[in-house]
Amino acid sequence: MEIIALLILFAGLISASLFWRSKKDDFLADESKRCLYNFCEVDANWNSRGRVFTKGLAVVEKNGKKQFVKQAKLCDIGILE
Amino acid sequence: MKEVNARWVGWIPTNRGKLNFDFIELPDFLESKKITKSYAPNKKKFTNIDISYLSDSYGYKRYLKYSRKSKAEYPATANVEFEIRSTKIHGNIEIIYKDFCNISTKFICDQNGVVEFENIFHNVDSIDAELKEIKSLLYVLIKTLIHGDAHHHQKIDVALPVMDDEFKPSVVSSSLLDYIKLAERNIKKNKKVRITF
Repeated sequence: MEIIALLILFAGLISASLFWRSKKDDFLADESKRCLYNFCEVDANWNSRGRVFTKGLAVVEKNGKKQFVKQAKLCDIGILE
Repeated sequence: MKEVNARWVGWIPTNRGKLNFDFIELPDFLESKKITKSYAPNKKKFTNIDISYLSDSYGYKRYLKYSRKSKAEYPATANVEFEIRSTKIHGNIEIIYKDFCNISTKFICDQNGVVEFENIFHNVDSIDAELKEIKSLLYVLIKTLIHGDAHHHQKIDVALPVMDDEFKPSVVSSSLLDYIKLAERNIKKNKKVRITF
């Protein structure tokens, strides 16, 4: 009986974990990594996927040399509940 | 200094239909001890303005200190001069990335909010690849000081475009409408928003 209870508990935990992962917004996760670690840098192939972005410019050091990087950052569109 | 032949135009939102020279000022969030301000009857000059807010990644700086991948971003400062001649506001703007690059240009702003920029001077090998972003950056800073507030990272900088050569009101209105459509689409797609339309 205890074994069955443990199995059910284990299955429940796995299901909860899978459910939580499915809830994660991959787009926003990628965007936050791009902004946090790569100065919001975008290349020529970057696509806004229909969302609203600001566009900025920064100077950073790469390979020991200062250079401009083109940026894009998800824009506040407001009116959240 | 090298010169890039360029002419571009933007529109600064006006209060009561026309711009007022008296309203040109540094917004509170740009105030700091390093800034110097000079006021004469027909001239205003601001030097050493910290314009880090124009970088999209600047807001993430506070999180980077906790990250092993911390890297340096070089802040920029700006010097801006305004002078009123007849009904137009003439001015110079210089953006300085210390030990890297100085970018400057002149502008003329009409009372109806149309601001014209002409030619860019710089001291790096080339700015051709970043020219579009630099034009926008110079416009956003002038708009910030003349309009008296700033909405970078928000709606208005995205919705208001800069145009090459000549001012076309239809480009501004089309851009605003495009923005409204995009914003509406994104709001409808967002599950956290109560749909009321």
